[in-house]
Amino acid sequence: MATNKEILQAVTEPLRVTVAGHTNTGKTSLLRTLTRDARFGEVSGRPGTTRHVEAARLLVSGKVLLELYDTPGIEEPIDLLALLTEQAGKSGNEDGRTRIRRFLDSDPAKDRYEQEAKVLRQLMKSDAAFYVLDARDPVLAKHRDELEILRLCGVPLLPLLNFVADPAAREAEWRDALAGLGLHAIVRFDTVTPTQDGERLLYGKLANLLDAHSDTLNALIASHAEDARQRHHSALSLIADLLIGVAALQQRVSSLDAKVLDKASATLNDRVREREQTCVERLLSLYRFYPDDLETAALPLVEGRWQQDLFDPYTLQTMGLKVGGGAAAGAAAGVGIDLMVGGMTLGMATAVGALLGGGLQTLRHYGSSLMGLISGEKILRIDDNILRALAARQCQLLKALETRGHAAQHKIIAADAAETVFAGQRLPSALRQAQANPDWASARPSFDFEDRRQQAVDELVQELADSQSNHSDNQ
Amino acid sequence: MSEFNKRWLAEAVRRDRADSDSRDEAAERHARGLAGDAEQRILAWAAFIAAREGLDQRLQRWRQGALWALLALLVLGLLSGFTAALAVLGDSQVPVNVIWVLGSLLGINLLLLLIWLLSFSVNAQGGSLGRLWYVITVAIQKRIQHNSSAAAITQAFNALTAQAGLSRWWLSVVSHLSWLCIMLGVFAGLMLALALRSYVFVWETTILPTSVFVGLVESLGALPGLLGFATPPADAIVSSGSPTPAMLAEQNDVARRAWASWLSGCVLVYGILPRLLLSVWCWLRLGLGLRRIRLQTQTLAWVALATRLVPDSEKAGVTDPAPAAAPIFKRRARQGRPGEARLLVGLEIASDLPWPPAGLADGVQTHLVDSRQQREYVLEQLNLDPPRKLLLACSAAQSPDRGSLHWLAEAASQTPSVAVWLMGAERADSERLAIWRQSLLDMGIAQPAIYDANEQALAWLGETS
Repeated sequence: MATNKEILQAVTEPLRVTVAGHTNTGKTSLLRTLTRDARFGEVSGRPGTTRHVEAARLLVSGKVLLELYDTPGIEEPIDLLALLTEQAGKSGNEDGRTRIRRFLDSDPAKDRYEQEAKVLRQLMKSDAAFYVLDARDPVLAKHRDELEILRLCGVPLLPLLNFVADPAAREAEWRDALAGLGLHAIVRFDTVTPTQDGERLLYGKLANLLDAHSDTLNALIASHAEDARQRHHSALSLIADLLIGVAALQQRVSSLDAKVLDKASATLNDRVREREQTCVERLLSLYRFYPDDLETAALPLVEGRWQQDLFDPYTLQTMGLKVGGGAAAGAAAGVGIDLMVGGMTLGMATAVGALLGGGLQTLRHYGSSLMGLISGEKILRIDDNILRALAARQCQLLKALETRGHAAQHKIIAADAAETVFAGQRLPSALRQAQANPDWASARPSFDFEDRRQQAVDELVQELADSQSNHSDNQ
Repeated sequence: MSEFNKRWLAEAVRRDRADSDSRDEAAERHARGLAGDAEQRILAWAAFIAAREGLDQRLQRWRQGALWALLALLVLGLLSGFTAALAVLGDSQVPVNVIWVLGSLLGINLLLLLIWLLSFSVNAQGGSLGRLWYVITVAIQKRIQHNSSAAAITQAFNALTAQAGLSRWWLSVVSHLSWLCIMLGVFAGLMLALALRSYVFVWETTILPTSVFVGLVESLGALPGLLGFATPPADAIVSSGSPTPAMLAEQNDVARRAWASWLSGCVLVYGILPRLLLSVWCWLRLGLGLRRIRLQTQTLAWVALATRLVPDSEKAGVTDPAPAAAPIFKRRARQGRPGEARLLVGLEIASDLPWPPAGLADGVQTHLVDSRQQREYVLEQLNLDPPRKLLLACSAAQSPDRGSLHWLAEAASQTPSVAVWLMGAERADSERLAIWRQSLLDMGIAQPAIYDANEQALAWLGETS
């Protein structure tokens, strides 16, 4: 970190990078993804949506390291190159920048080629440029002419193959053409579904092109990597907090009468749904997606809500889970009924563990359960498999969020079955402890010397992280 | 406010607001206006809210309460040590069993000290008196001060110190300080009793040989001896061990002073000094640790606020505004009699589309247009010999741009009978297709003259009418 700080102090001027390219290749989308701001500019399938130059800054610790300029697409490169050639006329061996400057001062730059002039003017003021291209397009004369014009500005160009994951992408064709134009440093970057290390590769390649600024870019890479790591951890904390809270939820019923049970379990289920929704919203906001952006989103969500109800048997079935039997399972789907004294059905070991760990609080809880037993009260809890389903769904959402660019607008077919979490094994001890501690349902400041709820959450975060890394190992 | 207290306050403010999801715009604006990194701005944010809501004063009150609790604990320790010493020594009517007294005065202290040391190896926190202080402090907050934010403040303190691994050290500081006071009380009681009363010191045994006691007294006295405390000589120790009334009466002042000095030395060296040193050591550890505590701005607790206070990206606005509306290229249909040719011209046709397409009628000429030379050549040809029918083929999968539309308009202007064929329309996405159609309509190509099916387009070209 110390070296990073020194680098930050050494940066006096931000690095200026122009994003150029043919019309409708995803320049604004690239900016959205790089700034993690789904509200930057305007994106549509229409060519020429962006007709102005708009800037965005990337900061690390409040210091601007990179300025990105979104530019209009170049639309008439063939005629423009012809004009530039014509303007050069008899002047002989001029360098490119002189020719561009002459063009920018001439009348066509204010009239027919005003849009192109904006790009070139910005490019002349920049340290480098990303040349965004749609890898699904064939390589055409207009693209070659466009690159020819951009090269005249004398600024390092880094071609960026967008939509390269598409089966129709012509990556080899483009690489060949770009090599022919002397552009060998090329980066694959899907603005809509960037790979996890896509950004690192992008800035890394740029650092190679701009040796003098490589420290700045490396500082940016390091800072973003750290942010991503922390964000992932924060997301797991949110999920763990949800699970602990839901596991601790209880509803007391006076009898196992079907009507009473139905009502109580409906109340309980509603509380779970509400919590799940809150967690979804927090996850979205952590990854800077807005619920109202999600109407057309690539998530198994509609308007920021899960399409399938958690308690729908089908939902569980797709995850290979069944809501367990028990005396009144039919009446109270998704609810485990604690017929014994509170928590004792969790198994003797848990109960003892909870007693040892939970101290007075748990003891008090057992006391009140005993009272319940005498008065004939029963305790409803959330079924273990519902907890598993909840965990799986949130982890699935997290995965989707992590691989989703901020430019994504279209739907991605969500994999029907989420990866299972904690399946085929006992619930982690943190969750079992939560089931025995009804006051863990929410995190309120307390006077307890140790925040054992928080400890359980931390423990569960670790479990979730382990289970995820196991999954990726298996793949 | 010390660096730790600022962070404590920030943590307390966060926990106090945990239930409210709403943002405090005023505080955020205030913090964003200041220089500094995320943590500095969070501290400013917290200070702003705390000052407005009086949380800083509540924190101050909490600290005062805690201080009073500590003082009370220490005074209680002094008093209890003092009375314990007096009680153990008793009145001077009976001889004092010197070993027994020393054991009573130091035993519990040393036992608990041992437990404290062991707590390091079993990962417990130790410092049971520290916990007592904690309980008293919390009780004061709850029952006397009625501090509405006390839980948040308490938890903030616990969480911050626990996170930095400092819980053990503040528990230990309180514990050692309390024991230090108890032992000071013991020492004071001892001094008072020895000053104002005349004791006879003996030791007793049923089974142990005398030499054990001589060795014990001498070895215990070695360390205090370095500080100038006397140890009774061996013969005095021996003679104190077989107390006969005659001997008791005879115990000379020298021996008694030596015993008194030995006893005080042992209490000082084995009771007070270790606790004093440990208090100082733990205090230093705690002080250093507290100074190093930082808010973890990247964790879930803070990350949302931190990114609002120190954004990692920001919009810098439009630096060059959009030009006036984009031009629309209109076809100016040429009048006059065209020639006899039927022409199919493909503009920017990708290599994966079949060219020339199958099923062309006889006599149809085809051109492919991509580069500038080709564009100029075809326009020239069209101009020189306007075809009877011109079918312009475009690749529907690509995005129409001004350059293509311009050329298409130019080409379409060369002859009255023009149609456009959107090649590969079946594979192109519907939005793009709609954009093509709209652009062509704007250009002046009639709706029926825009084809996306191969057969229809080629059939049109083949028709003789």
